[in-house]
Amino acid sequence: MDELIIGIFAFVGGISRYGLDHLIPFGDYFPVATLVINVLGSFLLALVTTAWSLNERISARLTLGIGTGLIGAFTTFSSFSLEIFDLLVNHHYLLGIAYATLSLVSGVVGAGLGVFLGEKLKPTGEELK
Amino acid sequence: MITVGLVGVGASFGAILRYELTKFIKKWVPSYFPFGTLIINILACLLLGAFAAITLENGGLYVLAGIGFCGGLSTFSTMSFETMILIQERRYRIAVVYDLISLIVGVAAISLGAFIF
Repeated sequence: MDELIIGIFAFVGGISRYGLDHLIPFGDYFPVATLVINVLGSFLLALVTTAWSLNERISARLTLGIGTGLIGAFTTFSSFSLEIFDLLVNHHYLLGIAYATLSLVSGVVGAGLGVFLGEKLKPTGEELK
Repeated sequence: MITVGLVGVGASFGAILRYELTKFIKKWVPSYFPFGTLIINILACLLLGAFAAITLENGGLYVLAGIGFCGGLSTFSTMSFETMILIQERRYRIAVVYDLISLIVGVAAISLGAFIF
């Protein structure tokens, strides 16, 4: 059952990534789309995981579907690595390093913001009663 | 339209495999270090390098296997979240090591995958 939920949500996550990838124009050698997708996904995963962690009204299964399925399939580490590889092979060394650094740092900052906002949105013990 | 469907189907199978592998690795290698995500992301890079070389980034197979499956298998958001948690726990050095190993071995796996095929 968990697998089915993850699969359905991942279908949506995958096509959302594909759609955004085509909507956001590729910058001069710079993979803007993947950067936006990965940072947005990092923020959303941290937000959802933090805000829903204690909330029994939102089932663990839905959290699994949205977090592991939708957001997990939306973001991508393999395309990120392939893009860095392409930049390096084409001798754009600085761009490759800049892209990698910017992605990793913004991803963690995005996750930090998600945790921060998630803590504020998390229902208190009183509200859960 | 069919292309979009192929991405979705590939992503579904990738995400389910990621879920099963994560459970399996967490059971056998219990650690605060996120070995599960690391191993899964490296595996996805190896496969994507191979698929990109085989299909030359063209056609339905690349869309299904490369963009769909490898994209669904690998995850950037979980890595960011895990790094964030390591930082919260003040395991700064491990957080940096985790990201650097993922990055370096990930790019190496892409080239290895492309080289083999």
